[in-house]
Amino acid sequence: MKKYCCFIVLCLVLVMPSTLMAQQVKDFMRYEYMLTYKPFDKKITPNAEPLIEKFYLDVDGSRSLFISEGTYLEFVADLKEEESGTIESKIPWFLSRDAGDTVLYEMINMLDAYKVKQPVNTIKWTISNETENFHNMRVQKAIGELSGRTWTVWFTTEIPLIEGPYKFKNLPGFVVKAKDADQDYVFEFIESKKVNNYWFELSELDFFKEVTDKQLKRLKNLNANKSYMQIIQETGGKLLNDSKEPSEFMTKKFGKEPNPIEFY
Amino acid sequence: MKYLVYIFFFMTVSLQAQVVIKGKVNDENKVPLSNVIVSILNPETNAVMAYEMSDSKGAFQIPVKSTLSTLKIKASTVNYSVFEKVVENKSQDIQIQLVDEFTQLEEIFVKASPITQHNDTLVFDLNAFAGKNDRVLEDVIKKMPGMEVSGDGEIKYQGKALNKFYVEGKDLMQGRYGSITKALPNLHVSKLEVIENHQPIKMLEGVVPSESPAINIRLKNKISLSGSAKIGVGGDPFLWNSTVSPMFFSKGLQYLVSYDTNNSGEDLNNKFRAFGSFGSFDTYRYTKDTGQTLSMSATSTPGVDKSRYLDNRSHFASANFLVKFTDKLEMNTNAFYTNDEVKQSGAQSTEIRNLDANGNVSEVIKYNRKDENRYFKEVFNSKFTITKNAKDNYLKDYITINVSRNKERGLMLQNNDPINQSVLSPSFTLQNSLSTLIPVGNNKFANFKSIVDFTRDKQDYDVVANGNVNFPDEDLKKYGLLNQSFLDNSFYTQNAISLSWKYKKWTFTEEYSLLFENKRFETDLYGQNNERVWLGSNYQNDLTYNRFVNRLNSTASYKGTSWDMTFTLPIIWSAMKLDDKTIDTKNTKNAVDFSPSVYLSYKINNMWTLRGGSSYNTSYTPLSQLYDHYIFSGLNFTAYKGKIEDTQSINSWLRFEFKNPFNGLFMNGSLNSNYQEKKIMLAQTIDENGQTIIEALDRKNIANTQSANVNLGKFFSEYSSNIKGSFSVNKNKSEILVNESLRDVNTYNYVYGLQLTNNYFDWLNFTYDFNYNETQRKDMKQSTYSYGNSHNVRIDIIPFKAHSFIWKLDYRENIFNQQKFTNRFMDVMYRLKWEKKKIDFDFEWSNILNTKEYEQVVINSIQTSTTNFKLRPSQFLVSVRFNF
Repeated sequence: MKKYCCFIVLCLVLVMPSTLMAQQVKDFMRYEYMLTYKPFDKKITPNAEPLIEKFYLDVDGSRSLFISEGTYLEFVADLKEEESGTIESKIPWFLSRDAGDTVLYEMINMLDAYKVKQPVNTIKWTISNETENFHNMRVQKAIGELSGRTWTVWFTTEIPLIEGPYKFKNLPGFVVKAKDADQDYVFEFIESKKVNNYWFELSELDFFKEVTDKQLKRLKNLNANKSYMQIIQETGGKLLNDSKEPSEFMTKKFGKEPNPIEFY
Repeated sequence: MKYLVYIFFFMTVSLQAQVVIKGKVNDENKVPLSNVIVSILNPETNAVMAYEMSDSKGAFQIPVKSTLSTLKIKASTVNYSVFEKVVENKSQDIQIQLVDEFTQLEEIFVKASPITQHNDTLVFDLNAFAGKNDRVLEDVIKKMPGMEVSGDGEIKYQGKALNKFYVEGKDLMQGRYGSITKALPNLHVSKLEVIENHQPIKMLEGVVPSESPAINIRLKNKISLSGSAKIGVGGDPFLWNSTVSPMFFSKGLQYLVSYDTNNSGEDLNNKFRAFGSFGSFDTYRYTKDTGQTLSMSATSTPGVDKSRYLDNRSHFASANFLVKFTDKLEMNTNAFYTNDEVKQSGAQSTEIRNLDANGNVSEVIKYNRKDENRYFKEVFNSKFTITKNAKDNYLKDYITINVSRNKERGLMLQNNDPINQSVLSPSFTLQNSLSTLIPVGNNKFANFKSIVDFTRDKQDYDVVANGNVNFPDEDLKKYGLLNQSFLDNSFYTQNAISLSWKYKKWTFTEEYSLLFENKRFETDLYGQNNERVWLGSNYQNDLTYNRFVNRLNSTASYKGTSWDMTFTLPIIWSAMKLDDKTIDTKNTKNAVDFSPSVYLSYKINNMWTLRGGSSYNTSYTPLSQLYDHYIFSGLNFTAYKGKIEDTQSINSWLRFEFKNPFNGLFMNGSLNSNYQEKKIMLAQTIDENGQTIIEALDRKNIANTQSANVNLGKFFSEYSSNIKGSFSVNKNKSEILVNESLRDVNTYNYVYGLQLTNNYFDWLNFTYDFNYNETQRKDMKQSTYSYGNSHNVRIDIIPFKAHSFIWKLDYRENIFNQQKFTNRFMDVMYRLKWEKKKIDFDFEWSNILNTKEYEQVVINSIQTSTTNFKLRPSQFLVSVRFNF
């Protein structure tokens, strides 16, 4: 449901006061990626155009943040207490990394927020011996599997970081391109630059409830069969215009996230 | 034996090729480093052959299979030196030491970012989105990315409601844009622009941000006349339900006219809802109710959907124009006219028990009333709005005229004695409301709002008694016709100026407002046989009422992680003056009141939330309860005291919410308490035919209401079903003075409910509701009970894309005094969509069981009534919807 992705930050922004999330403006390195993805059910709309979003991989020593441009700008706007800009993200997650762990932050149905901590070294990669060329950088291909998708990634040792988009951070180099077998998600590195901007300390956010990966997947499944009406009824609320039939938006089931980055 | 040799052979072969490079990674101080990538590279190509991440102890173990003679070991992690060493291709242990070293990261430019427009405006070329089957603008908007259109036409972009809908930069419909999108052909539109974060007030552009988007439609060069229509006919007797709506858009002038008519039970009063998000700088909205003082005595309407009993003949026409004078100045004219005729037919049988001092029943009053009434409503409303929207100032002003002429006429049988009643209610309102922004200092604004309203409310209530009406004064019985006249001219103005600012997590708002009200209230009673006779000053009221209120309101609100609070402290200085010309007295009241209120919300943890609030309020007797000579209305005589008294009330509530998302369990409940202390009590004298004389007494009395409810439910995800149970109780305690007997009356109401829903299949939706309720009135020693229950089933079936089918069943039962009243309803609806021509066919069959009357029992603190109301019979309606 495309709607719930858009509201991820709106809800965060409403509930999280800006001072809770410690932040400072400092210098760090920003690696920009372009994500081309298909967040829809391909059986229903096989010819729909994929979406394109810009992602930031902000790196400061052994810590990094992988977040879409839209979500990052919303955080900044909230800090400055301004209205957010025009860029919206349809991705419901963002990821941070601290040394040997990654933490995935995600919202379900716009009201519940969860985070999952996992070690960096979870995906098993098989490296191909051949080297290829990616925009004048020498890269090697590796293949691994993550939650139902087979990922092919290209990493380079020419960038002295062990980093990459999403959870692909345990390869012997810097991942410049990652795509899944169906080409539903394609991350591609564009450029890197030194920036002086806000760096967010996400570890201090207690709005996100920590759960295990298995629990998060279970919560998503449970939520898929609910509708907005049911969520409101759970809190004991009622629609204001009670006499009218509730609109389709309220009674439609959320459904499973169409074509998520991790299937299970 | 042979096999052992083979196994040994293979083992040695593999052992030969498999090499394990293991070791530890430490820093300069011999502290182990974890998460360091140790890779084995081909020394010539530098391609990685195998790798591993060092564990928490800094240890690594990498198996390598290679035919190369040498291998290069590389260890790297950020902000440490890179370790590289060439070794022989054989299993070994290697200690790696990394030195603290800043990792220099370079800026790299790989390829140009795709061009992303960060402009405020996105332009959609309609040709790219429109399909062959699309007819109207709404059909194409539904396909555009980011757009959502709801059933009633409300458009949202990226989930946000629009704050403006322009056609060629002009806002014709002022929020009611559904009439445009549902009827403007898409072929006449060249582009659709979405202006994200649209700030309609030019003065605030770039200063006060807006979250709402706006849409602007650009038309193709020719003038377009378009529209759509829905025509429905049905039977028994002849029924119709039609809507026609043509519109005209050109770059110079815009208008939209519409006409709706039906006699199939659809209430047109809610037609043309206005959508949109209203900014906080918008104008005041105020309406004074007219035509409420005098009315006929009529059976109360049943507690069921209006479409079941509305016997109507309704017409509604509207016209909307927009003229743009200059780039900054715009004028809107929106007018409508409605003509409505409704018939109502009902009967009621009421019982009132008079108790003596010991609480025993001394007398039982029973009376029956049966009525056949007709209500005619005719309203004309017109509104002119001028908006000046410039960079350095903002002003919005509208002026509204409302003229209505309502009539009521009915024949009532009171215990089988006929009484004719009629009411004439012509009224007139003229109102002006404005809002403007005044710059204050640097980038701060004060908002000034003002509203001025003049309303003339006139009514005449005529009763042809036929000798069947009782009067407080026996003398009046000699008149065949009685006429009660009423006139209320009121002038109202409210003006406010407000400023708000933020400090950390707090927001403070100061608002100062000034309210002035002046009313003239005149009533007279006349009797008529051959000539009209004025019945004297005992039945005359001539009041002038002035009210002046100064209000300073301070609000502080806090928004934290777990706590959310709002504190309001208004200081109100009221000065009221009542001038009674009939007895030549003046009554004044000056008061300074505090009306504090608090709202708290505490999120205990992710599953539990507690909320609560309390408020204290002082209100003063309104003019409608300050007349001290009788007014005759609804066959009753009412008189109050001409004294302005205060009423104190305290309202408190507490609420809890629990939700466990893991097992789908949820629970919530609330407690509510309302305590009111009044200085005036109403004494009612009810005689044997139900007519009441109401007089006000100086006596302090208290009314106390408490209620509680709890809901519990569970969501079964595997079956996509929801089961919910609920319970609520409501207790009301008040003092009544009826037929000279003063006593406390308690009424209790208990409701138990159960609800089941199921959405397992996409093509089938099922909902079942069950309700059981119990009402008790405890009047000293006397208790009166009534019970009821209801069952409600709704099934939606969508077997194929173009067909949908809805079946509803409603069963209600009321039990009182060993009598059972049941009401059953069943409806069916079938819709066929002809996608190719964009035509819809609807077949509706309502009230299949032909339930002709609705029976219910109503218990309140004074009386018990069983009412019977005539319903619309079974009807069938076929409608076709198409575009011009």
